[in-house]
Amino acid sequence: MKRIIAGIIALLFFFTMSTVLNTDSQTVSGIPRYGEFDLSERNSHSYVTKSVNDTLKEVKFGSTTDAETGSANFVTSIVVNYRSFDTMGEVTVLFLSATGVGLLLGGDKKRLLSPIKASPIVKTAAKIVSPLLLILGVYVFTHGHLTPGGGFPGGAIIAAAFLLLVMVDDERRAPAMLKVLEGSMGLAYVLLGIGGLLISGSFLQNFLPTGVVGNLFSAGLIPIVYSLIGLKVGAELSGIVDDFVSEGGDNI
Amino acid sequence: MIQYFSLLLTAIGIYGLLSQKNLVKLIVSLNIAEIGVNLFIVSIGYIEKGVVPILSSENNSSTLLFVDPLPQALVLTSIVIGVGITALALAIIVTISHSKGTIDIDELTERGGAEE
Amino acid sequence: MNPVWLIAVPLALAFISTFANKISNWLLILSAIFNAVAGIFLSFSSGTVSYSIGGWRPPFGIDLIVTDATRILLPVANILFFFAVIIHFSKKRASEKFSVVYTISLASLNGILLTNDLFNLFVFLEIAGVAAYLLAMTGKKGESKVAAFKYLLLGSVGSLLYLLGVAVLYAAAGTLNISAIATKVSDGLLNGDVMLVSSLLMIAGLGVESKLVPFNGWVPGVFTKSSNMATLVLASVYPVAMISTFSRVILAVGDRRALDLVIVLGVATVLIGEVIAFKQRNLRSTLAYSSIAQSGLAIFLVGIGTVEALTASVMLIINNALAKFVLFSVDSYTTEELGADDLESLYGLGRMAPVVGLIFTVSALSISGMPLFFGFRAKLLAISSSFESLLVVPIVILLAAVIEITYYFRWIFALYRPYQGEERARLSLPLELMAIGVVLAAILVFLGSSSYETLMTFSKAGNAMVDAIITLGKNLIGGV
Repeated sequence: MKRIIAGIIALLFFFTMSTVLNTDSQTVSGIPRYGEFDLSERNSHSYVTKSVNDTLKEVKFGSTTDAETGSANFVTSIVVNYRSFDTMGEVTVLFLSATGVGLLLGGDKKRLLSPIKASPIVKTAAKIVSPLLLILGVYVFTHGHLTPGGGFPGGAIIAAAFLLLVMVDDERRAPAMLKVLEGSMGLAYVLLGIGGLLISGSFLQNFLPTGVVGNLFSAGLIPIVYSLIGLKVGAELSGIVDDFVSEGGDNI
Repeated sequence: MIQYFSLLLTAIGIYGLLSQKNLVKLIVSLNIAEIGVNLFIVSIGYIEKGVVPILSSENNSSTLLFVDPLPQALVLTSIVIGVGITALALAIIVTISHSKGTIDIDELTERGGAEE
Repeated sequence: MNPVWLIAVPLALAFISTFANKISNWLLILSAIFNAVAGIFLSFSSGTVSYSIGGWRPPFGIDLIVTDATRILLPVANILFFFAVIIHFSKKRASEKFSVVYTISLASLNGILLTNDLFNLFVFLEIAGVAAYLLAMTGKKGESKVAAFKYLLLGSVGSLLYLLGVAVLYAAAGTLNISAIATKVSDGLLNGDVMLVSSLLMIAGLGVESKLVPFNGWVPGVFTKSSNMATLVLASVYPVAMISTFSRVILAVGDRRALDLVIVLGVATVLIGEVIAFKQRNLRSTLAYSSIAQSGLAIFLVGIGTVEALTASVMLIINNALAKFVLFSVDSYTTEELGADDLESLYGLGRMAPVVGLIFTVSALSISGMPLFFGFRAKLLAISSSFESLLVVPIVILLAAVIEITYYFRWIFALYRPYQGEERARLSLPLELMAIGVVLAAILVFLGSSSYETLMTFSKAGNAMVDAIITLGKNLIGGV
């Protein structure tokens, strides 16, 4: 009976949502047909043409200087500049969950041993692969304004390097420095925001030159913020992995 | 079409949330629903023949037709939040199974506070 | 003063306390003091002001807005949080483990009250939500975890539905700024069905935190199982932010037809909450269900949507926050001193601790809407404003008020009934609880007996709920 009711509610949801698809018309705007809408009717048009505060002009890869945000990757320009406040909140959510996992499962107890012993070949390979992963992670977050990726994927790759080590080595624990890294990176992000408020008059406002679109050293605060986020997310996710492999917890 | 599929995925997740009794399965259902919503958000930013919203040496001018980058940015945020919630939920499940010895929602409600 | 400080300072202090565990309690106190002072400071000026974040002009960038409604709600929320912190730290066994969580919840509640962007609101709701799930875990070992898990599940599903609603609105309107969407809505530029579906999703999403009827299964478990301090914050400070945001969003970007649903759900919430509260045998669960009923009362007025109704809604939110703060802190005082909070063990408390009895009585009378107290003014306005819509509605409200008065009087009588059990040890009288309780009770009496002019502030707030956002939107679009 419960399953039938659940099925009916799920179907009801599906059909209600389906009725509003493809409802865009000339007079009133609804949800456009898939793949057919006019970008110039949306806010994103200004993000793509970098003309929120500036006047509308063509931005060329590799030659335009001092463009708004200066980031070649538009998604990054939104995540870390136009809507940076959201990202600060997002970092806080992850931080809070990591803290919660630590409170529930963390502590100084022994860690769980994996049921399967890793062979020496896997152990040696893991020791070679994980520094490479670490470098890849750093590459991904420092190039967030030029290529797909950024702080969050970069941080996740760094945590994957740690996870690899944890899986092959029963002794491995996260260093105590991780907490300090996590907190100080978050603090630095907020301080950059306050710096923007004091220097340029608006919280999280960019106060560095944005350089040439497409250069590594461009886009003002974006690479700095993404590096902070990358390190913070890497530390947080490694901390979560470490908490999950430790026995019991503080029993709050 | 993809929009219907993403909504269907969300509906499957909602069905799971309403019908499952195991706490881990509830979290799996939540994640399925979340993925459906995220796919839906990305799909509203797609433009026919639009290019990746990144300037590069091939797509080198802002006058080209790009897909909408804003939904992608929103999805990035919502994925990260989903990861955080999932980690926290799993940690709670571990604690519950330690202290109560079960992760079946019916048994947990029946026992109430009897066992500790 | 830029209101972003109210969010940035607690966040920065929270990040510091991760590597300075020893002083994290002091950092929490510091941020609570800062926010209380800044909140009061903001309330001195008036009018609607928009502050952009990152220097990008709205509707492209995120902006924070301060309206006449925020100018009342912000100080109330921050000061109550500060009081909760004082009561918490006056005890000896205050642990510093959860200080970070409290500090971040303070930042997120301010963010929820201030932000003028739908997606930014989602992010802050998630922060507040995760903080609340963690706070709900602070009580008795196993049970509070189960309650917290239920809360987490409902809360996450709610915010998921809210996110879907935001996505649907973005697909249609092409912007996420509440003012800009509100302008498009009032100009009739959006498809009605899309609006209706997105409003339904948002009502479901925000309804979880606002304790609206089919979505409030978490409330009794969390309020009865979690620790005293957590309940105090979740029951008095959270609703101020959550319910006012519910009304702000639904009024600005909701469909007219959805408002009727809000009335129905709100009235159902009131009735169900009051009836179950009537049946409860211990104080804490009575208060939990009474909280549900009070939220329903404040929310159904949003459905009516006139300035008068919204004024009443703001007054009810504040009345509930102040009175529930006192009632819940008296409840935690009794569980700590007497070991229980059922009807029999409360006998004689009002004679042994007269001040505690007095503040309890005043708050209970105010929340049940007796004359001379603030709650009376609020309920009177609520009933008079709802006469214009359906006649059934005010009748239901009166009926609910009668039930509410009955059960609150049962508790008040219990407090003053002679105690005949075994001899009790002398009760210790906590100074800070009595001082804060007397201040809050005095405010309730003052607002209840003050002149009409004092209450004009509230009607300005009610006005701001309706007009400020759309006026701001008109200015934004006009500037493009």
